[in-house]
Amino acid sequence: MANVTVREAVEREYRWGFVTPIEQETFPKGLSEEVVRLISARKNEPEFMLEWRLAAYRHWLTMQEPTWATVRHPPIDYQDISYFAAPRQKAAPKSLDEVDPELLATYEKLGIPLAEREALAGVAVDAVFDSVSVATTFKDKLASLGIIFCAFSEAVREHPDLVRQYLGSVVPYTDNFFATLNSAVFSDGSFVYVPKGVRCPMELSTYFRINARSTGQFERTLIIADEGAFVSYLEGCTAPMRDENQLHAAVVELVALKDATIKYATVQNWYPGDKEGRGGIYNFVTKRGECRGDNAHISWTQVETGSAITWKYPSCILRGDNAVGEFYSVALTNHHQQADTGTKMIHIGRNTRSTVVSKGISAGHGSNAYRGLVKVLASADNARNYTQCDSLLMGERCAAHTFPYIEVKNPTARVEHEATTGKIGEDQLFYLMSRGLSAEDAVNMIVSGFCREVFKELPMEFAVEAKKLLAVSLEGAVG
Amino acid sequence: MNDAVQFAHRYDAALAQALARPQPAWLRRQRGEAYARFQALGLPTTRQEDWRYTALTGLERTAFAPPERVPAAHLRHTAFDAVARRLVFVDGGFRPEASTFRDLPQGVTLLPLSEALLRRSAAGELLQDAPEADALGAFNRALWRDGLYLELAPGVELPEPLHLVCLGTPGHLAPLRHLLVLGRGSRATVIEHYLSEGDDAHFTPAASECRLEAGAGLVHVKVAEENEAAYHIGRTLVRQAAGSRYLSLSLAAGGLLTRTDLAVRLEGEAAACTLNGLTLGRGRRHADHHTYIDHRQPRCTSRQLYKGVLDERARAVFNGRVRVAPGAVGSDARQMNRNLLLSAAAEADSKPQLEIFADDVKCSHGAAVGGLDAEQLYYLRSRGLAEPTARALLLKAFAAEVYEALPAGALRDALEDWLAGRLPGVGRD
Repeated sequence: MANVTVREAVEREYRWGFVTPIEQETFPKGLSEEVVRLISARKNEPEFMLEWRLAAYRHWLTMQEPTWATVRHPPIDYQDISYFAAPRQKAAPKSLDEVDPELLATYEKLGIPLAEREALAGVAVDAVFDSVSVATTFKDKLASLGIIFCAFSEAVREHPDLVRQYLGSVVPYTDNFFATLNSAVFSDGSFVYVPKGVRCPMELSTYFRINARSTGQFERTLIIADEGAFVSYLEGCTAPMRDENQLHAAVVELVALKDATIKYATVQNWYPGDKEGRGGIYNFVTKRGECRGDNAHISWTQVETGSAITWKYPSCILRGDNAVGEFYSVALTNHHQQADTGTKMIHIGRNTRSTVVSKGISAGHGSNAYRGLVKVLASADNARNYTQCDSLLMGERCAAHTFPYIEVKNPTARVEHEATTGKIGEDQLFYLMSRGLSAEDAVNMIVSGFCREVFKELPMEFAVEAKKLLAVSLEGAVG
Repeated sequence: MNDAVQFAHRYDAALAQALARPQPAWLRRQRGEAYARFQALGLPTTRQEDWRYTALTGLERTAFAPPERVPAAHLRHTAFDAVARRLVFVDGGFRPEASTFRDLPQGVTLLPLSEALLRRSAAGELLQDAPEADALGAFNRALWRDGLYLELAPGVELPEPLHLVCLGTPGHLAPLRHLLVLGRGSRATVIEHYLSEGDDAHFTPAASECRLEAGAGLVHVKVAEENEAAYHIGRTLVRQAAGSRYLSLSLAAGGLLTRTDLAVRLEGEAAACTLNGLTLGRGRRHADHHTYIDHRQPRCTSRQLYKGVLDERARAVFNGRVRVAPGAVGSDARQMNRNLLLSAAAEADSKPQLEIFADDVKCSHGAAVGGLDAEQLYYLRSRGLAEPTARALLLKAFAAEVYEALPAGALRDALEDWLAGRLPGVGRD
């Protein structure tokens, strides 16, 4: 790594940009009630699901696209998007052998050896290729524990009662412009239910991948941890290179009941656009978890290095007493990337605690904003929050912003917020270089240390990937 | 008609009155345009980001009128009488007979603003150079009655602090506009002091503009302690040239609603500002401090410390924004907001913001909200202090940090005395 020249590293082409020519079934562009009905019919959904989608669609028609974020992009034409794309297959695959070899080859190129991973890594992968889950591993092992881990569309058919009970209970279909759009047209996603007292024995993982041209991705993920359950979920993404901007408006809902714990980790590496800021993914995501019972615990960890625009606020509603919410984030913007991200911690129950650690890194023309809310309601006796958000600036044309909101209505609460912004210290660089490190290695080491608090929250294999992703953009950003 | 529409026309008579007074033609035009702008924009609502935590519904429902004649001043003793000379305004009009500032040194121009506009062309030029106003800025620009005009020639130092006593009387509108122009290397200390006569509601929209030429220094104390029914909406714009120093101390200790907007533009290299504020909240008081520091040039420094002591149903809002413009390298900005909640019904809302467009900067902010530290109380009690005494000591120390930015001397002592009797939560069981 040390020998790669500065310029080369910064301007490295997106490694995972390629398009797999698989036959796809794609709806004509445009959004209407008809399209919503078609999506639902195509997926053999029960009546309640269609009703819910339609209610969302009708509500969406009354909404305005929000403009408050510190991001700029040309207007999105919602009628110029195709709302459904599924790899065409004869029948649902029963094993990997039946999966389209082209598709498997794509995963190989991405470094997700689906076939190997089952044995080697002990990770169950529910791979989402565009919109429909094509293969799910480790299902049997999980099933023996009563854990449901499947494609969302499958859950709608197989476990309608669970879906009906929890869908939209954290992010209602009226929530916001993009979540409402998602509710109307969501294609697929993952569903996890961990029953009472069960500790999920492996990290659950999904690789999302946008493949078809001009197909917005509207993933929907719902994770329920019943009383005393534990689950750790990993989400990671890469996307092929293309010129057109693509809208990605996902919704993730987490429900943690009494004594349950959900850990949700993301490494996001969607295509960020080229050096001039052309192309790239618009990643407008609604993620929210609710600690519904006492002692529940939700932890969000994210490493955001991709997308032309990232706009998301993984949040925690701390309803139960003694509930704990955590948010650990690294967001990196280089070239013309923009990120407006942060979290909301809503303290409702007594003795609720939350921790927010956000690290923003801006290089090139990148713009990085932390936007967060810590709200302590009058009912939240002894609530405690600690927030730290630090920004690192590299280059004189980048920008870093911090917009925290703190609202406290309980005198027994303690809320602390700290933020710093600065560039890498010349003295730190000098110290490391005087010990024989190259400038690039020194910068890498400092940034690695800057992000350490977040990386240590990631599962091992993700931590490794995250460091690599950062290094690609960071080397030579200072020189 | 709804309240908003009624409000838009409620001040038509006040505008007519403002236009009828002697003034330059451009000012009449400026007033008319500003009023039209205010009517077009309407009162801000909580849907607007800058007013998210502060609702003006009470102000919208109440009618205030400017009195035809400036009422006489019934002045009581104030905390600053011994340390400063004073200028008295009642309901926005100047009362010369109550004022004590005389024998000005050479190079000091001190006039009511209305008179300065007729006598000094520089004053008019500065007022015409004003940036576009938001709704309440336009409201003030349209209706202001009078205010201070202070001009210091280069190198001149104002010998004593200048104490502006601004009184509001029941049911009246007291719109004020102050203009302070400090020439190169000059020095001044100015106290803006807002008070009420009687206990009934009145409304004070006050705007101050300060220009600091290179190397000038201004200590600007603002004390808002109107009665429990009063509305105060104050805004200050400071423009600083290279090497100038500005110290602001804003004390919100009264009113039903006190909103203070303070914007500082660091327009010259190595300019420095310190903005400190304290909210003393009790009853239903709502105090909102908004600051905006714009680092436009390299090597400027800004420091902010805002604190709140909130009892009963009081609410404090702090919104502090720091912007570092592209190219403003070597900027050094620090900001801190701390609130003490003393009762279950009190609330603190804090929004510190950093917007950084340059890389070689040092910026930080912090915010903390909580109750009195039980361990600190325990420590003091274990040393033999009764609980009320221990509480009072902790609260006093908490508040003291805010005015310690002032140089030691008579003014700081006077402020300390002033504060001693006003801390909420002191003297309770």
